[in-house]
Order: sequence, then C-alpha cells, then structure tokens
Amino acid sequence: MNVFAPFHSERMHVALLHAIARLAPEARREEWLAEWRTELWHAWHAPSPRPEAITAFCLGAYRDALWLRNNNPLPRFSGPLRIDDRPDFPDPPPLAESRFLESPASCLMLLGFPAAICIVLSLLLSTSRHAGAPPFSAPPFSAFLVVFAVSWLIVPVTTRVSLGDYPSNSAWPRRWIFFAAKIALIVPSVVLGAFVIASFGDSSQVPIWPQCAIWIDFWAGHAAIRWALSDQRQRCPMCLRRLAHPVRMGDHSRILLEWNGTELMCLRGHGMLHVPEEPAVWFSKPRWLQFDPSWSRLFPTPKA
Amino acid sequence: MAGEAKLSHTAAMILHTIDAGFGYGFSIMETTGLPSGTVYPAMRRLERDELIASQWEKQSIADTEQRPPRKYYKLTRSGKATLKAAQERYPLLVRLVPERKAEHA
Repeated sequence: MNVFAPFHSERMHVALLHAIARLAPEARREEWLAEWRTELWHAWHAPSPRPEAITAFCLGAYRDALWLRNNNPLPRFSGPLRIDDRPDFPDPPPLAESRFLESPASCLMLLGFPAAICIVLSLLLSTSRHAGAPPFSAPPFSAFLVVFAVSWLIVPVTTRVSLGDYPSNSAWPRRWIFFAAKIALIVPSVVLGAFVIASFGDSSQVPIWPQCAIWIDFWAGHAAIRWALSDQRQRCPMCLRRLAHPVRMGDHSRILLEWNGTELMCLRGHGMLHVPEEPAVWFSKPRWLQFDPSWSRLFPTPKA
Repeated sequence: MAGEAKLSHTAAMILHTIDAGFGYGFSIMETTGLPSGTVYPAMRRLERDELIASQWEKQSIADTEQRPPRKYYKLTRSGKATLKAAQERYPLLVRLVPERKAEHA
C-alpha cells in the first residue's frame, strides 16, 4: 500500500496551490491561482492522468510563484510624499512600520496599557496576599527591582547606547521627555509584570517558579531598553514620528572611500537620517540631515 | 528591438509551440515535454518582454465545454519577429512541434 497516496489527491493538490500562492505578489495572487487551478483541472482531466506526475506538476508552481515574486514591480505608493508629477522619480516602497507606534502619542498609549494592567494586578495581589502590609513590601519585589537594574547595566555590552548625532535645536526637550516617558512606562510593565507572574505561581508545587520570574524580569528588561533605544533612533527629532522608507546606500567593499548604510526619511519632510552600516571613525553614529524649505514642495503637510 | 532579441532554446520552443496553436499552459507543457517549473516562469518572462500576450477566454465558451475558462497566450508582433529569428537560429525547432492552428478564437 502506498502511504503517500493521500498526498496525490486532487484536494491535496488544490491545498498545495493555495499554500504556494502565498508566495505570489498579493496584487496578482488571485489571477495566478485561477490560472493554476485551471491548469490543474486540465492535468486531472488529461487522458490517463498519473497522480504522482500531477503532484510534480503542482510543485512547479513554486518556481512560477517565486519568479513572479522576484519580478514584481513595486505597487504605486499612496502615502503623503507627492511624486506623481515626477515620472522619472522611482516610487518608494510602501510603509512597513506599525501604525500603533507611528506617532508618539499612540506609542505612549500602547506602552501605557500593559503598564496600567500590571499596576492594578500587582496592587490587588499585594494587598490580598499580604494584608496589612504596605503594597510591594513583599521580599521578592526588591529582588525584581535589583535584577531589572542589572539587566540595564549590560545594555552597553550588547548594543549601542548612543541615540545619534542631531543638531541642537528647540525640539531636544521634547525628544528627551518622550524617551523618559517610554522608560517610565516600561519599568512598571516589566518589574510589576514579573512580580505578578511570581505571585500567580505556586512555588510549593513548582519550586523554580520564582527563579523563572526573575529570569523573565531580567531578559524582558534588557529587551525593553534595547527596543526603547532603537525606537528612539528611528524617530524624527522634530515631530517624533517614526521615520520611513529605509533605503540601503553604498557598498561594503568601499567603506574607505564612501559611506554605506541606510537612509530613513521623515514623512512630514523634516529631514533624513543616515545610519552607518559599519561605524567608522569619521561616521560612527546615526546622523540627522535637516531639510531646508526647498524640500517642502514634495510634502503636502506643512512642517510642524 | 524585440525582433533582435536572442532566445534560449527553451524559450524559442515555447514561442514556437504557442505559434503552432497550443495556447494554454498545460497544452504547451504537454507538447514540449518541459516541466511546469520551466514552462510557466518562461511564459511570464516572454509576456514581460511583450513577446506574447495573454487573455482569459469567455466564461460562456468554457461553460459550453463544461470546463474552467483557460488563459490563452498568443504571439505579439514582436514575438513573431523574434520567433522568425529563432527559427533561423534553431532550424530543427519546426520539427519538434506538430502544427495545430486555430485552437481558440
């Protein structure tokens, strides 16, 4: 008995084509699938069809979908950058950033939600389990704070802590206030989150439960500060919105002659950030290039 | 420009097969004996280079014949010129594919 027989059924072939269709570009996926389903119908209705050969036929769709994916022109961009009147100007790729993090207000709201939940839960747990004692007076809580502080101490070892090279202007207090607000929301989320996890678990049944919570506290704290730094570097220093349209520039092999790295742009037209791929003595930190008013023609929204 | 384009033997064979009247993917694959992973990407390339053009047949025709509608390919003007050049380059090409004109309108 052939154990692979169920894999050579028409239903499996249709499922295979649907799975492979995910590789095809979205704009052409429906037509691509329709064509391949038609072809599959003909394969099954050919004189003396061989199921194994039809499976091989369906697997050929993989190369077809991959070719379409690699040779698909970029979709028209409908963002705020006005380039429709410049047919010689290439279209930028569509925005990939999360809309929840795009504006500073929505970013803080997103961070504030888990922080609020952790504060409420830990207050409830603390008062219910240690009645009469002040909140967060249980011994593990101080341990979580210490571990959290240690997780931050190793950040310079694992990533850059510099936020970039920005011109001094009136926007810098806003930039630092926003960064401080992010940190202020991260601290309760991580420390109290670990505290809640430790409080929920029963250490008499799972003896390593408190240690697990400590490790979660450590790595979550470390990841959170790394994210806060990375997020701050990818924001416009003027409007604090996320920069977009990353473009790779230069060549690794020409590091001594010219810079290579990534350029990101503020969609409000405030400027462009150059992020070096390999830090060099003459270009080690991300560098902000402020746009002058001549660029405003390309951006429909006035500068804030 | 397109008439001067040099095709690979596989692409020339597919172009010749379409010109011979085998208008949709599976029939091209059967006639040439090439695997689907070669035929379909090659047809996409030929279509991108405007040597062939595709068109879905009418649903009514497919309904009459009780099958799903086919996507037919046919040679463009530059495709015919390119095929002519390819046939001079690969003289045995015409013997590989049997003639079956006017399969579809």
